Amino acid sequence: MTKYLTGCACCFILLLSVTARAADTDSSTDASADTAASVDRMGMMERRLNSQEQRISELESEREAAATMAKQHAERTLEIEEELDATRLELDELASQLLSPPPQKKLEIYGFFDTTFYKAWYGHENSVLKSAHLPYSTFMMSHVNLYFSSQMSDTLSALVETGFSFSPLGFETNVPVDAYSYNEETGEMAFIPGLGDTGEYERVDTMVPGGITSTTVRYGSVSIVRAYLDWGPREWLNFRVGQYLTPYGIWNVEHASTVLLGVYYPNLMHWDLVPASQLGVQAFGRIFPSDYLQLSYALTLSNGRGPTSTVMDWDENKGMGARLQLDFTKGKLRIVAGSYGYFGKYSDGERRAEIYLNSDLTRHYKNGSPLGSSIIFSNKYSEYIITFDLEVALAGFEFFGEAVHRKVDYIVHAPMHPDAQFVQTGTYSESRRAANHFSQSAYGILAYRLPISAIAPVKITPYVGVDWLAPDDPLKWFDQTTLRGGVNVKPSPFVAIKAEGIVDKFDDVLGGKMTSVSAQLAVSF
Amino acid sequence: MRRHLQNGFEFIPMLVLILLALTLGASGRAQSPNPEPIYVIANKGFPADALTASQAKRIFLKQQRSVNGTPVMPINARRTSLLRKQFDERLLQMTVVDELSYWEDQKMQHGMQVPTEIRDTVRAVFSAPIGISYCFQSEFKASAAKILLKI
Repeated sequence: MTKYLTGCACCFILLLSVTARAADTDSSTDASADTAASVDRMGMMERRLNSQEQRISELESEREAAATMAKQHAERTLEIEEELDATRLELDELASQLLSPPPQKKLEIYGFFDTTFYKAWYGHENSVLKSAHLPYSTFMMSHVNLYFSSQMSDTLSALVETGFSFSPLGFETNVPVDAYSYNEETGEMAFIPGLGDTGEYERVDTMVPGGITSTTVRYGSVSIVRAYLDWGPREWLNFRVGQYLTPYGIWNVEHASTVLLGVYYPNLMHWDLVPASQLGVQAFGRIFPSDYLQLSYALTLSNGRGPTSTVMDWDENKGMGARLQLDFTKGKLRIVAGSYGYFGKYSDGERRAEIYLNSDLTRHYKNGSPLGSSIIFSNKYSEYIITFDLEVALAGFEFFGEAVHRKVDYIVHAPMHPDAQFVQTGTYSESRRAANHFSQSAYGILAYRLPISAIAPVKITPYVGVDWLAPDDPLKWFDQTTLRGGVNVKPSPFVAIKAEGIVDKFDDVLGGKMTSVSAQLAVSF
Repeated sequence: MRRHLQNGFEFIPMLVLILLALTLGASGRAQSPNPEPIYVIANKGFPADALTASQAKRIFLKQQRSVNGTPVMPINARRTSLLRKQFDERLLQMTVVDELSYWEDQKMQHGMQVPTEIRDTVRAVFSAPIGISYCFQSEFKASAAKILLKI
């Protein structure tokens, strides 16, 4: 095998030698031309190489420049992003300030009004109650109240409530009392001239004829319902100065016909057993002993009750009152119980200017001056009032009620009303005076808000109640019991529609029973 | 006339029946089984770090106007928003209409001014040092406010 391979290699070498010798012989003539072409080509390639190296160098320079620039851009981007974050933050703050509420509103104006339809029926045809309420159905507008409310700062606010009224239009300043004698034989009544109050019937008419460019006008009046400044440095300590609603009970505080459940006011308010408002100062506040409990108080100091209490006081004595209230709320249960006590003095009379003369009608200087004055009181009494109120609400049911006990001690006894004298004694005397007395009244109302979600947001609340009054304990025939029932419908938070029926049970002397129905639309705006 | 009245009173039982029928036919509003939590939030400078539900309710009804002696200002979401609706139902336990009725009553009784309504409640408390408001959990920004209560 080895010998065979060695032989093949020798033959291959000999073949190569023969082939090379033949090639040298064929190309010997083109050698010089090939050499020149190769040199040219090499030169060209060298130039190209140099060009490419230069290009590479340029590209590397550009790449380095680009990297430097990119680095600069990245740094700049970072800076811009930081600036952007800062700007965004500032923008957020600015937007928040624009979005955030103004801490206080300088002035808000709003109000409410109501229109009522009323009809009453009396126990007998000549009921004396008709002298107080006409027996005809009528529409009436009792309230057109405007509020001006301002929150000047976190602790300072003011409220003015004005009441526009058609009064004194229609006010009867004198309803004469005619006397009749009954003839038992004929059964007829005969007018007795000269007996009773024979004065003229007087009613205020505010109509003013219009001019060429206007129609006839019936002017009305504006009353200041309340006007006060509140300063509240602490939750538990606030001060109120001005004319304010007396902080007693429920009805007097709820106040507006859009808030009140029923149409008729309770008897204790009809009879003004507690002054509805006072002019003076008040301190009030509240604390929260626990999550469910709130204790409130109010202390009042005012002119008290008087014929001109909002202008001037007719005595040095000031009306003083204090209220305590407990408010317990847990889940759907709410219990509010309160009490208000008041002591004050009512004084009414007239002022007189006087001149002092000697017996020879010369000026008398004994007191330093011949001129003087005096105050003559015609009615003066002290009154002590205590009120209680309770409100319990649970699962749509609500019970609320108030009670008032008032004691009147005369210092200067007022003349007794002629009608009261006649009923009480059967006679009339100018010298007969009103007696010290107690006044008491209480009412309770049970209401239930129907859970009818199908007609939401309309709220329907039927209610029933009873109201008892004994305004003057020596005059028992003044006592009155009232049964009431009705429904309050609120189709929106701004509208209340009410319908109510009332049965008043008076003493037979006053005409016995009086039945009335009413409907009211109350609107807040 | 009395007979007329008596006839009128005969309608009362019928009215009661109609109202009862409507009551029985009423159905409660369906609630989502897992509603998104709502945070009662305040500015980081607010004088308290937590409130009870009763405290928060009193503040948003303006029955309490200070916390730890510092006045606070409740800020409501827009009355048409889902947030306001759910907040009212969960904390105040009333509908938005009930709440509006409450404010109408407070205005007439006490001259009270209604809390301001803001669309973006988180931003509002961010800029109002005494502001207290609420937001859905997903809207809360820890950098802008602090949580006082979860409802």
